[in-house]
Parts: sequence; structure tokens; C-alpha cells
Amino acid sequence: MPFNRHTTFISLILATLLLWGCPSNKQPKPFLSSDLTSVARFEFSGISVIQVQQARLHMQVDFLFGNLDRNGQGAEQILMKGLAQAGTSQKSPHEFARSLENAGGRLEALVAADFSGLRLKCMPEDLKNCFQLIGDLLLNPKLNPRYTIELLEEWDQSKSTAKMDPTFWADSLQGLLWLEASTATVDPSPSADDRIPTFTQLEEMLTGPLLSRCNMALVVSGPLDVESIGDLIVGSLDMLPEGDCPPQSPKSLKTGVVEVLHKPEGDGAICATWLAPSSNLPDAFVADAIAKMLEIKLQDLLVKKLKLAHACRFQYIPKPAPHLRLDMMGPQMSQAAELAASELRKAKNLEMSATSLDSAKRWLGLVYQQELESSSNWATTVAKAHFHENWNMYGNPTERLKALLPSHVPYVLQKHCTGVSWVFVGDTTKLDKKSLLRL
Amino acid sequence: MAAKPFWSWLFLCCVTWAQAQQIETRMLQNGMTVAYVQDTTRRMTHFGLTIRGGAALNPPGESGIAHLFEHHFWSSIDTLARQSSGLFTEQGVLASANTQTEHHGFFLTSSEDDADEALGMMYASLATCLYRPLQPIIFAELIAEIQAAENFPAYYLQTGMMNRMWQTSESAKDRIGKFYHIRQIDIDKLQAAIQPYLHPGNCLLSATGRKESESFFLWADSSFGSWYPVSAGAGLPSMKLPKLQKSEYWVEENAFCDDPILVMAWPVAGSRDLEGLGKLAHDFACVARTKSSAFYRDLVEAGRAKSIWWEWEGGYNPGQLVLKVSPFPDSIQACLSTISKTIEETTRYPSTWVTKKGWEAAAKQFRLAQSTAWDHSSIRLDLIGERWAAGDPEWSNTSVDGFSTTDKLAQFAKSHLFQQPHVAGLLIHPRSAAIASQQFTETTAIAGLASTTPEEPKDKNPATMTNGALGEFEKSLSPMRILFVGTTLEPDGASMTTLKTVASLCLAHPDQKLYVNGYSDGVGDGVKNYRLSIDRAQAVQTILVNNYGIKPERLIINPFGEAFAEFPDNTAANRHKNRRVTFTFAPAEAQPRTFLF
Repeated sequence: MPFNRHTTFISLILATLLLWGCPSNKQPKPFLSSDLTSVARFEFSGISVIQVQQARLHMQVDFLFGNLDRNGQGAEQILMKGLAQAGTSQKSPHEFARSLENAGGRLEALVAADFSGLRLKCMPEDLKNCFQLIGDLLLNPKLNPRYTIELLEEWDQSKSTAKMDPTFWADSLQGLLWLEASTATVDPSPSADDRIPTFTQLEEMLTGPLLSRCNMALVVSGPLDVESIGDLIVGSLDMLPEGDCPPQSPKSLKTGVVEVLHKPEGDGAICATWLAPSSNLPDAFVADAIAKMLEIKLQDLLVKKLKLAHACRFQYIPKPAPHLRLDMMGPQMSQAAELAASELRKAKNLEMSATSLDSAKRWLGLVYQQELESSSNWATTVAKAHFHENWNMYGNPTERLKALLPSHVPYVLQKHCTGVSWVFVGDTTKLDKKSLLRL
Repeated sequence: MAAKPFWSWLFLCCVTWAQAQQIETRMLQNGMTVAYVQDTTRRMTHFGLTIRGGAALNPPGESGIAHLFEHHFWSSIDTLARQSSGLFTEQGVLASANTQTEHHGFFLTSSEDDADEALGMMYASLATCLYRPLQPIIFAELIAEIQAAENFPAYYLQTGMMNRMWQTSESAKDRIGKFYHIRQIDIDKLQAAIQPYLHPGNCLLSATGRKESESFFLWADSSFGSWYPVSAGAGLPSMKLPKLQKSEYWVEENAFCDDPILVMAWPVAGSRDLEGLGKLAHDFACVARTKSSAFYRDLVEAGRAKSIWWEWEGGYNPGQLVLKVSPFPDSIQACLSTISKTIEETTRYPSTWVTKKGWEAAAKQFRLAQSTAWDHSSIRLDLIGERWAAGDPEWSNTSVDGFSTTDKLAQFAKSHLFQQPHVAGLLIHPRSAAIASQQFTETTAIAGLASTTPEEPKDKNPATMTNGALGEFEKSLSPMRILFVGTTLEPDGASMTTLKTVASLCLAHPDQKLYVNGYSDGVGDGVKNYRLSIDRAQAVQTILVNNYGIKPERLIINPFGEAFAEFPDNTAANRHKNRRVTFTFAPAEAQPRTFLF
């Protein structure tokens, strides 16, 4: 075919269309996808970026620290809340808040048990300006003394009233179940008031490794491409120190232990743990579903019907070591413990009917759907998956739930969920320790 | 880069898609309205049932029926368990409900697979809740909720504000219910109260999900189309515009209230505001609460208050513009003074109270809030139900109105805000109540809060003027101005002559009490100016008492600070004229005040 102006022109048009229609080869391949959305991961300037393709925009900068901090002070939690109200070396807290507002952004602190984050919301056209401001905040933070000291006072008060508060007991108890003291949480002793962090300690933490790139994940939920995300990072987050984040040392749970504190009157608390499948195994999904189902069942039985407990929580926790954890607080912990053990025994011995499993699966499906409803829910869910390294849990949960059979429950419980340990605070005179360890 | 146009295009598509979501509506043969929003981005289906009625269901003199109906509605569902966020059922459905002043909202969320059952459950609950016995657990939950509400001071105060502002029956005002009323309710009483409202023409069924709209409408018709009520809709709630209560100001102690909460409200429009006043009030609140507004600058940045928040409360309740301030305990007085001054600034100097950036920020935040709210399917249905229940003819229109211009907002402020708040209250911990109560009472004058506060003298309505010799006295007082030498407290020569005239008039009418109104110029700190206006009024009072023998209890000090300036503060001569004392008649019951600073 002769090479003339027409063919050149047509070739150019075709090439343009091809380039127009194809994403850049820099665009990472989604590693989780469905007909509704997709999730991709890549690294930019040493920062882990997780990108969720959604219509609406949501940004979240997360850091791998939460209230399971090293010395149980809860300092990191307070630091993160304080950061959202902080100023910078150039701007007072008021000036910073005004600048962010003028740029169309809204900033909140997100503090979970295992990671903390700063949540930025803004309209797409305001993103660049807002991001510059967040970069400035993380690079040159200056805590607002008035607000931070109020937070510390609140924390202090919560610790002193915790002598009466069973929730505090329950959170405290789990520390006793880990072999390494470094993961322990708050000392349950009421005299642990000296563990309140000071303002100076918090200020010092700003320059430590917590706010470094290696300890950070940027979650972008919305219609942005790699190049645009890179543009945002350059000159803002990439200015943060790279940091030196050593790999987390594996932690071990104590097994086969019943720790008992006798407390004849008033509310008591229980924390129980079982070893559980690693989040990389397909069985982890089943363990998570079992925990959620048992939580609802125990809430109904112990809290609602029998009123033995005020609250009940049952979770699958993949980090620092995969385990199932049951927390209960309330007036009748001996009976509650016996009944909880009995329910678990039933689940372990194939006593869950297909009908009850079916109904549990149906609302569990809704729970998973709700976790992914809005852009912000998506961002929080993927941040959690990233830090827990358990992406396995988030691939097509609805389909996997449908495939769950009654026989899977005892199989997973018998195969993986062993080595139960209990920490018990309450009236021990009525407690049969052996029955608790029979699980 | 080649990738950019593609992704930009994708982004535009997404934005366009997000904006293109429309509410489609139908009316079933039985008169029930149905609304649907197709949303293909999630695998859940949400249903909403809005019933006009709300607290209006409460019989005269009683409360709690409406709230009990809300709790009773889902009682036909056998629960597997309850969670704090709502009610999960064995059918894989999450249920929630709310009671407003004039409507109820019932909501169900399910996965797509369970949507059929969810819709059936909605109808079954509606049909059976009338006849199912009231279970003790429902009463227990209700009472627990009432107790919990009292533990949230801000919520408690806000509910109180609504009750104090709008004139509806005692029971209809109380959305939560009172213990002693609730205990007397049985199933017959509940049925009698709610039956007239359970009419298809009084209900809106709404939904959002991935289904095509037409298939949803067929679905709705097969579920609700055969519903014909026991009564034919007689006794549907009369949707009259609410009337205002008498103006009220109060101080209340609350042990859960660690920091003082000061709330004041201005009425704007009823819940069926069809003139767009609510939108203006909403936009005004968005601007007034930005960090670029004079309110934030003078209250928070100036260290007088921890936080401020302007809010438009309307749509599902009679509409009011509310200002909530969390003052530092030792700054309540200063906050009141500042609020007064700043409100005046919004109306008299509309171009200075918020910067252009502040207005732009408010417009951005408004768009962000709308986008965020619409992102949650259940909130979406609640918003649709509210607008429908309020009788808004545009309820199914999702197009976003533009943000009001600064001129419009200034006009709004002038017509609706330049008056004392209709209700105002201070909630405070008992430990600081005594001093705060005193502060609040004594400073109501400067914020224009107290009903006994005299209006600004020159605005006085001639119809209220006294006749006869006393009337002449009052008329002659009106133009009198006492001015001072420089910034001192010493009246100038001409003013000393004026004082002599005032004294002679007072001696001629020995039973008439007078307000001695003190004013300052607008230079410097508002609180200091308020103090100066007290000092000026006291200096004049001292002269009248010491030089002319007027009894001090006849002369009531009434300071205004820098409010009501007669001249712009732009020249020294004008500022001199603004530093003044004037006289107005005080009622016989007016008592001398004690000033705390």
C-alpha cells in the first residue's frame, strides 16, 4: 500500500485513539476486583499506596500504630487525635484549620485498636491544595497544647474511673495472655496512673519513626490514576523521613492457661483467646465468620436474654499472631463464662443446624456489604487489610460466605482453634476452671 | 502522558454518573407514593417507609405514643440478636427507625438476595404492629433510651429549645416521651392513636438498589398495592404552620454538662417552608460557622469560647437558626457581649463579617457535605422522606441549588437575625451554676436576650408612648444625649446643662423610674467597651444622685457596650458622639443590677 498523507493521518488518529483508550502501563493491575470496583496496590517514594476505584473521592493517610502501643500508655492514640487539631511550625492551630477549610477539606483522626489514621475528605478539585496542607502538617507538626492537655486529662480520668468500668478491665486483661510484655496493654492495677503520657513525651514522638514513610499507607478511594496520586505525594508526603521500621517480631500467645482474679462483688470481666488460622489460609475467612456469628449469639443470650453481661465481643484478630478473642464484661461472669464455653463446645461438635447457619450467613453477608458501602468505609477496610496483611479476607466475601457449610464450622474450630486461655476477674468460687480448658 | 485523558474522562463519567442519580416516583392505586433511586455501585438494597404523623400522634396532654409506635413497629420481627447500631434479623436485614415532630421514618437494609424478604417484612410489620400485644421489652428499651438521652446535655438542650420555640400541644412537642405517660399506654390506646395515620395516602415507600426502577415499582405494587386501611384516612395530621411560643430565656443545671453550653435560636420558617427561607438560613449557618467568620474570630480565636456552631434546624422540624457556643466558664459574659456585637456586624456591615475566602469555603463545605450524605444509601432515603413529609413540592428533585450569594445572606440576616433571639438557654454544671446564672441574667441586656430589656431608644414604637404630662416627659428625654470629655467619664459642659434638665423632670415625676443607657465607641475590645458603657452610665447616675438628690433606685444602669452606634466609627468626631448616655422610661418593677466586672 502506498504510503501517503491519508494513511499517515489515519495512522496518527488510530495511535491517538489507542493511547487515549489505554491506561498507562504504569497503572497497576488490580489485585482484587469485582464488577463494582477494584483495588490496586503500588509503592511510590517508599510509601505504600492502595487505590480503590470508586466514583466518589476519599483520602486516608494511615499509620501502623494504635492503642496496642509498646508501653500501654495509649500515647499514640492521643497523638493522632492531637495531630488532627495541631498546627504547624508556620501556622497556629486556628490558622491551619482555617487554611484547610478554605481549601475545601475536612480532617478527622481515625483511631482503631491496631492502626491510626488521618482522614481527609474533600472534593476532587480541592485535592492538591488539601494534600499540600496535610503534608505540611505531618512534616512540621506542632501540637496544640490546650487541646492536647485536655485529651490527656480525659485519658487520665478514664483511667481513674476505669476502676469501676468493666470495659477497661477487659481491655487490660488481654495483656496477660501474651508471652512478650512488649505487646501488653494497660496494667489492670488501679494504681497504674503513672502511665499517663506527658505533653513533652507526645511532642518527642512527633520526631520518632511513627510518622515515617515506612510506617505509612496512603489509601485513595476515588477516581484517580497513578500519575495523579504521584503528583500529590511529590513535595508533600515524600518529604517525610523514610524511617527505619524493623519487621515486627512475631508474638506468641500463652495457651492452656486460666488466670484468675477473685472479685466477689460488682462487675467482672473475661478475656479468652484461642489460636486461629493464619490470615493467609482460606480457613481464616471461616474463623472470622464464626467469631462474628458467635458474637451475635452470645450477645443475644448473655446480654439480652439472661442479662449476665453488659457487653460481649468476639473477634478474629490476625495480628500480631492470629487468634480468636472473646471479651465479656458484666455482673455474672462465672455463669457467662460457662455458657460461652458451652456455646463454643456446641459449635465445635457440629451442633449448628443448616437453618441457623443460613440465617447467620444472611446477616453476615450484610455486615460485609456494609463494610464496603461508602468510600470512607472502603478506605478503612482496605487500610485494615493492608496493615493486617490479610487481603485474603476481602476477596468476594459474599460468594465465599455462600459456600460456607455447617461442616466447615467444627472443622475449622477443631483443626485451628485450640490452646484456649482465659483471664477471669469475678467471683471465682462458682467457676469450674477445668470446664473452661476443655475447649 | 497518554493515560491522563483516559482517566480524566473516566473521572468525568463518574462525577456525571454520581450527579445523574435521579429519584423516580410513582403513585400506587391506593394513593401510596413510591420513590426509587437506582444505584449500581453496591449490592445492598435499602427500603424506607415514611409516615406523616410523628409526635403529632400523641393525644392531647399525653406523650410517648409516637415513640412507642416507633419501637413497636419492628416488634413483629423475631430477632436473632440486637446490636447497638440497630436490629439484625434472622432474615439478614438491618432495621432502624426514628420519630420526628411530624413524621416517622422506618428503614430496612438487606443484601440483594434478601431484598424480597425485606420488603415483605416492611409490609408485615406495618400490618401486624396494630394488633400485636405490647411486649414488656419494648417498654424497657424505650425507658432506657429516654434515660440515655438525658445523659447527652447538648441533645437534651436542643430538644428543649424546640419545645420552647414552637407552639404545639404539650404532647406533640415531646418526641421522646415521659415515663408517667408511657406506663399508661396499652395496645388499644396505641391503635386508636395510630390507625388514622396508617393510610396509604399518608405514607411514602422509598428504596435504593441495583434493580431497574420499573421492576421495583412492580415489586412495590405487589407488596403494598393491596393495602387499604381500616379507616379511610380521616384524622390525618393537620399540617398547619406551627406558631411561636412566648419568648423565653433560662439557665439550667445539668450534672453531665462539664463545660457550659449556651444556645440561642431565631425562628425562620415552619417545616413546610416553601419560600426557600430554610435554604438561606442553612447557607447563612454554613458561612457563619466557618473559621473566617467574625463569630469564630471574636469568640474562639479571641479565647472566649472553646467552640461555636451555627446550625439550621429545619426540614423535618419547624425551622430555626441555632447558635451553640461552648464558652469558657469565666467568659460567659464576654461571649454574650461578643455575640451581640457580631450579629450587629452581620446586619450593618455585611461585607466585613466574613471574608470572600470564608464564603467560598462555606460553599465548598456545603458541596462536600451533600456528596458525603448522598454516599450513604440509608441517609439518602431519610433525606428524601423528610422532604416528602414536609410537603415540599420539589421533594423528588435532586439537583443541587447554588450557594446563596453574600448579598442574599446579608439581606436574610437583616430581616431574620437583627432581633433578639426568641429563645436562649444556658446549660451548666451545678458547681458553676450560681455564678453563671448571675452572669447570664445580668448580661442579657447586651445580647438583647431578656424580654425585659428595653429596645434601643430611637426604635421605640410611638404606639407604646405614654400620654399626658408623663408622655411629654418621655418625649423630651428621647433626644437627650450626655457626651463626655475625650475618653474620660466626665460629661462635657453642654451635657451638664442637659443633666440639669433631666434632674428637674425627674423631680417633677417622682414615681417614674429611668434606664440610664450607657454606650461606648467601637474601638478596642468589646468586653472593655461594655465595662466603659457601665462606667459612663454610673458616672451620670452619680451626678444625678449627688448633685440633684434623685434616689439611686430610680435610675437603672443599662449598658449596651459598643452596640447601637449612632454614627460610623470612622472619625474622631463620630466616636465622640457614640460615647454617650441616654435615658428611657423603665417599668416600675425594674430593679438595679449588679455588674460582675
